[in-house]
Amino acid sequence: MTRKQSHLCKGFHKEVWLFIDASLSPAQQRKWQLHLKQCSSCRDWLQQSQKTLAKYRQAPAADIDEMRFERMIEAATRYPQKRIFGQRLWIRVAAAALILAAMGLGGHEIALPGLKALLSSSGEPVSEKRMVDALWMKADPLDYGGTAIDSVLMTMNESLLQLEEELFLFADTELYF
Amino acid sequence: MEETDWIVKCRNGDADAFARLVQPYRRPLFAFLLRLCGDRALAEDALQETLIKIWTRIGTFKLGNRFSSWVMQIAYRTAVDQKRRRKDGRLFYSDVLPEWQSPDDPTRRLELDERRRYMHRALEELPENQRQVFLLRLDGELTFKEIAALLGQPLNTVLSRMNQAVKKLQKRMEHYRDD
Repeated sequence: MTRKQSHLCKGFHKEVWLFIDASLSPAQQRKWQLHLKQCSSCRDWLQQSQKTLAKYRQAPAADIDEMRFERMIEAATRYPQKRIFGQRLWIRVAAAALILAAMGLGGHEIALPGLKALLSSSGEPVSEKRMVDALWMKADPLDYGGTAIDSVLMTMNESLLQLEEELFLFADTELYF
Repeated sequence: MEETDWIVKCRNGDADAFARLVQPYRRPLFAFLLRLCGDRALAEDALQETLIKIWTRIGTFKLGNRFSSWVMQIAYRTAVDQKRRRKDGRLFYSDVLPEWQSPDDPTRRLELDERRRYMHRALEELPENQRQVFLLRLDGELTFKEIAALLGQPLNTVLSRMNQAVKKLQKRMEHYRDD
């Protein structure tokens, strides 16, 4: 075997699976086809590898009872479907962003007087951080009283929880593409 | 109707379309999960979880991509998550031989059973990272590029693991024939 031939063989061994999958460029596929015509060693090696895969495929695979599978399908379809790329996501993003922006701009001074009064009653200074903590960590609207605050907290909680869930899902599913 | 049509119907909440869509995956999906989980009950749990994910996330599937790859990748991730939850489990390991429907002909049954046992043992002997690539390619039917992306490994590493796995299986088979 010449040095050039040996180099080619190494290259073929490296790319053989892409060659079998036909996922190389047409030029590269042709190059290896030509090499196979000339190199009996690579030809044998390819045949052996394909035989091994064929044997694996011939070995019977496990199966699951059809009725059981149908029950699984039925159970799966009882779950609500997630909608990621629809209009709904952007509405939620916009809603959450507006609420956050309002808080950042001091909107809470106007929108959440009940919460501030409640926190002040403990005698400790009401920092922005404490307000946010209270919103996030203890956000049961009924604890804070007042219909305006109920509504803001409810909207914010719902919007952000949905946003969080969907963004998480989005990040997760991106990996599948 | 084509697979894409069923997918579109599924996205609109059509449960019958979902059944039609996933029915062809029953056997390959279960066989794949059984090899990944190594236990029939765990594989059934993983299968249920996989079906739920397919149904709930069908809206995230990009039409034009290979649906089978998407399904198998979800199954793989589900099995990995299940393993993480179990903490003690080793992925791509099977303590039990997968059950299967034996053919009626006794000679053929013996032959297939022997081949199945032998293949199972040979796979067990592979290092986990090689078995992982081998199963994702053969059972999961993912392309090597998809496997590389899924495992976060360079394509060359994946190809080299496949080479090593096949070489070892080949060697084991030669030895088996000599027995």
